[in-house]
Amino acid sequence: MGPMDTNNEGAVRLAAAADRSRIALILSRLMRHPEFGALVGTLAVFAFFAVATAGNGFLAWRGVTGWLNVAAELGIVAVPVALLMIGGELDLSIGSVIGATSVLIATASGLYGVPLWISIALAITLGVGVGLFNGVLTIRTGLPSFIITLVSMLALAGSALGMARLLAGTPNVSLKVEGPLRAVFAGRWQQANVSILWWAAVSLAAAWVLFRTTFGNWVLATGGDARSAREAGIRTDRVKIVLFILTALAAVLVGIIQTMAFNGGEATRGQVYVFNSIIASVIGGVLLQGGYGSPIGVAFGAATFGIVNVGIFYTGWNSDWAQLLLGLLLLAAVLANNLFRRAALSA
Amino acid sequence: MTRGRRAFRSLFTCLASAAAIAGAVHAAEAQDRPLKIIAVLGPLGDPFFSAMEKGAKDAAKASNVEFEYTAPNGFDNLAQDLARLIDVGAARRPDAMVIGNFIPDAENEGIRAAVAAGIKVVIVNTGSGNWSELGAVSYVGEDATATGRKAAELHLANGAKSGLCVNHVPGNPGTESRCSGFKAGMEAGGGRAKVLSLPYSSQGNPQQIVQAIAGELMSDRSVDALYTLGSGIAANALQAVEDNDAAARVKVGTSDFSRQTLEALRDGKLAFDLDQQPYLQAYYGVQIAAQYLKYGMHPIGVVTTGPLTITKDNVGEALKPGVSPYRGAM
Repeated sequence: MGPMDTNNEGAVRLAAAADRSRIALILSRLMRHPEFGALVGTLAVFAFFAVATAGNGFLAWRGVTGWLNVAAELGIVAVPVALLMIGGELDLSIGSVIGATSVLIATASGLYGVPLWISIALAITLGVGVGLFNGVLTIRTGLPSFIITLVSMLALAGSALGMARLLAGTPNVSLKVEGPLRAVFAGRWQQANVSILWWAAVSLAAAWVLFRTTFGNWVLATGGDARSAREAGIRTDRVKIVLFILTALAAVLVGIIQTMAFNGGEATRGQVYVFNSIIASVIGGVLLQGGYGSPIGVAFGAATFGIVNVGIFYTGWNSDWAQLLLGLLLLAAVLANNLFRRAALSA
Repeated sequence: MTRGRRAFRSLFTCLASAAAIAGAVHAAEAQDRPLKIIAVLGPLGDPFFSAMEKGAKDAAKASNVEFEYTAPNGFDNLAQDLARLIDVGAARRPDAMVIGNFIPDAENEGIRAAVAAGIKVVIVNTGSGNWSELGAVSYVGEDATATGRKAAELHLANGAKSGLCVNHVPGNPGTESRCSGFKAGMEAGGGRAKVLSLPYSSQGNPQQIVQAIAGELMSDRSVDALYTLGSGIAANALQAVEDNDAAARVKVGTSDFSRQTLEALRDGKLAFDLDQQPYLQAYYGVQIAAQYLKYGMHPIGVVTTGPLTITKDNVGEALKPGVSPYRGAM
């Protein structure tokens, strides 16, 4: 053992240490991404069900499309909802917008024979109107958006039900759609719905807007510290109004998709999306108090929700306990997420 | 001038006699004021209850009674909402009430109090077990357990061995009884059956319900007979079966109606639809109350409105445009 050897050994050790620190650096850089925790949560939940459903077809194409279809429809709404939450506001009216859209289109086109593209245009107008109402009223009154959107949720659900029963005599109106518009909104390739593409497009577009555009910076600033944002010259009121319109339009999109996929509209459909989109956002790493989050993370959040909600039925376990397991798995996902975010912020 | 005065006088006479007639009619009404009936039934957001409301209103019109339909807005706080509506309804002192006893533990007390206050009560839709001990005049509706058993019979006749009852409102006595009747029926016929309870987080989201049923069918490939308890869920079950390419193996039957389920029956996709005839339940309920109040007559025992079995052979009648609203399917 000469001094040379010792030196060599030291060099190797040094190199190893450098390697380790490089891995640590890459890891910590990865962990700094707000979507990393959400990705880990999705993978963990997927692994859990891959094992728990062994041989039941959860990993087969049919099983994968099953949870993707659920995640897609949720993700389309959850991503804009997350942007709004990052901007510091909530929207409880999206469920009513989904139900009202489905009734509007089914009644107009199914009952009165209005061309489908016109009823879709009407639904989009409705969405913009609801978004404007929520945004302008929240800004003008200074009341919490929780209250304002609660008002529009109730008012819209009531009018959708009332109109449907008045015009069609029933809260469920049938509508069969074929042709190119069906392909765009409810097309299928084997068991995969085209909504999966919409989901991916909405998520990527939202991520680009949030992280690569000035408007995205405004959103983060508005939700992070509205006062300094205003002092820096950002029109926080306009930012919020735009975000409210986006959530309503996303709800209109899901309403259109479901009307075509399920051959009709129901006034009471969609309310569950209010809660589930917030769940997906939180699993996806969005802070409830605003200013932090990532659309890609929320896309993973929606995926986790879809995997858990569909996966449980592939296990063949007694379904009475499904909600308990759902709750526990969501808790685990959120805790893991939190852990990663803290580690990321302290690293 | 004279002419004008005469005209004025005749107008006055005219008005006076009109007033006299009106007064007489009013007096007659005071003696025999219109009977008032209040219903406490299910949310109108459900097409099933829309058909019930139609039946109740038609009966009220035919019997010339004042009628009001009251119901909770949704299913999420059913027990408290129903109990409150029964108390509020009874406090308004109607002559009779038509009540669905959906959640007996919450509703029994209020129903007893209404009966004790001299209000005639007719139970409809749910509550076949205890209507007479509550002091009600009669019960109109289906025997939910018998309906479940009928579903099992129909599936068994098609050669089914292993059934699955999809309960989308776990904890509701009506849906639970249908499922337990179905299970008992399948077992009595040498088959077996289990219950799939859908969690609250899937309510109102058809995509999630489709995927849940598809997943259950994948995890248990022996299932060859699905029984759903609502028209919307039936459509979702059909799609799940189709997505799994299992239509040849798994047959779907359901309770309750919609245009979609009727068309699926016609097209041979749905095996059967068990109708409990909600329009008739409410129609007879109001009519029995009115006839009892007016003439003291009422049916002895229960009036059974279900299950009426609809298959491909007799679905044509229900699909006729003038008929379908009465059946609860637009």
